[in-house]
Amino acid sequence: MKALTWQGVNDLAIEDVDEPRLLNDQDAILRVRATATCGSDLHLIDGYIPGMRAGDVLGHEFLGEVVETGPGVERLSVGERVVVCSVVACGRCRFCREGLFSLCDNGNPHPAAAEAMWGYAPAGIFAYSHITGGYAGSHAEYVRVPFADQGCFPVPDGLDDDSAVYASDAVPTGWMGADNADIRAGDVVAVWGAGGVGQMAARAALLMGAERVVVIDRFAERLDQVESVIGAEPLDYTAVDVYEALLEMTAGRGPDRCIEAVGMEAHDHGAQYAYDRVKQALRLHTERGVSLRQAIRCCGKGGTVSVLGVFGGFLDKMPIGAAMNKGLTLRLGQQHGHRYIPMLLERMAAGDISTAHLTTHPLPLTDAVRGYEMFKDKEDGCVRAVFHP
Amino acid sequence: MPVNLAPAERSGDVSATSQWVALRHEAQQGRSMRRNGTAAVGVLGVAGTAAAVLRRRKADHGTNTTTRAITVGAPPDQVRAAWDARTGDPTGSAQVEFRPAVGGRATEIRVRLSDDQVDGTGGSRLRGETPDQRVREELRRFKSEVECGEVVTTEGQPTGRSSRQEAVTRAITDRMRAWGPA
Repeated sequence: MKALTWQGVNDLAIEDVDEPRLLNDQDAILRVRATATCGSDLHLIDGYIPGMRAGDVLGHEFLGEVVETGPGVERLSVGERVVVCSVVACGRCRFCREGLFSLCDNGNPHPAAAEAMWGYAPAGIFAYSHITGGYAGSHAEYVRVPFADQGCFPVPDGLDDDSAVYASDAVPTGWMGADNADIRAGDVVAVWGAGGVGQMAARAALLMGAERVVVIDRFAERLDQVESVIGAEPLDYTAVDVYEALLEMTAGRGPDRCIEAVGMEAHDHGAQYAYDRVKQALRLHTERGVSLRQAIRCCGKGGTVSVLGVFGGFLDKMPIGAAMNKGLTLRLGQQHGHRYIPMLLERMAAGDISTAHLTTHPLPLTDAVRGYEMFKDKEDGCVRAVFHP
Repeated sequence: MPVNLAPAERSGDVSATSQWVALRHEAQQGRSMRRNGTAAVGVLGVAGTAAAVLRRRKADHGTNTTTRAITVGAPPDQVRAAWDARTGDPTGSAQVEFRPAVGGRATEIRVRLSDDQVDGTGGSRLRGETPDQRVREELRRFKSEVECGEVVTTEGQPTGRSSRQEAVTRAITDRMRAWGPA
């Protein structure tokens, strides 16, 4: 079958690989119908997440049709259209039982590197380096899903593939960011990043009762979507001073809740950004944290900073003094998608959450290399490329 | 490697300090020699300390134990029964202890290994098959089997690698199952 593989830093290829087969009793095989690019893939492609091997099949946000199930699968049937959580979790360990699915004890078959780096290993993630399990991804004609009863969710009729695919990752990640931010009625919320995850976090914040939600980015087409589809306020950080703008917007209080949806390759301008770029290029630190630092600085006293952007290693110049002295709460984590996806699919089907606009570039899988170039460089207003094998 | 070396460490420190003092005394014999002598003291002091560490490792080999432990989300009687039902036990002669976890929600398993078992032979270290590594992998496998009925794998999944590249990847990921603090 055809698959998009990682060959090295900024080197992708469409290759012929073997079709997946059932490897565990609780596996299912899906024919992939839609598989999305995600901003966190860029960290792999750019070489900032360690543990990739040449030949790894990419893709972690996907939807497909069940074509085969293992003898241990009880809830799925062949022919069913399902969206799959990007996190691989067993559903039965202590963490899964507490709803903390991305911390699953049994979903990562190769946990030792994560234990060495982070102390303990979190769950597996599809196609997100061998540190999170080394699972083959969904940018292929077929994909194997471990613990399929746990990670596959039937898609409601009426929700098309290119909309429902985001229930795999962007929608639950954004929802969890808002959930972690502990949003209360009347709050002012600032979201850094107007990509798919940032937009979904902003929509979730509004649904949770935030009075004003502002989304910060530099790309006009994304900021247009923030205003026209999400119903939040756009803020172009290349045109204004973000801190001053938020200060004015809140009459000196600062936002109550801040959501960082950018991660380790944040862009900005000025000396701090140049410093980050040089240190990251020399591998003296692994993260460009300008958005996270800005979120901590801008957050109002007693507020919450919820971090959704992916960070993998070490961040320099962490403004811990601002966080401590303002009494901030920091919440972080990969998505516990299994907890949210059924509810979110209902909301998406009911029209509470719109995602179709994110798929600016539907493409055949054979154009996936070009699709990632467009996505990375934001060519032609690309917000997300979605591949159809 | 968390091996208890406390008694030997004290004697090793004394040995290294004695060398340091003796050499420092020689250096004070001539003022012109002071700077060079101090540098030599530093180098030899480090060397002396290293030698002492090596000596104490050799002296203590086989007398210390290391514990590998894991928490399994099932009651102790069930965990014990499942443990006893296994075949081909890689823990060998190691001492195994079962204890209810704090809060009574799970069972802690502790396997005590001698440092011979932790270190293994040169060949077993290269292959990633020291008794310690086999015990760690067995603990992970056991926990997963008890908690969710299987041990998830990626062996045999599609990749764009040649068989030779895949063999290298497999060698790396095999070790990524066995390393770590479990």
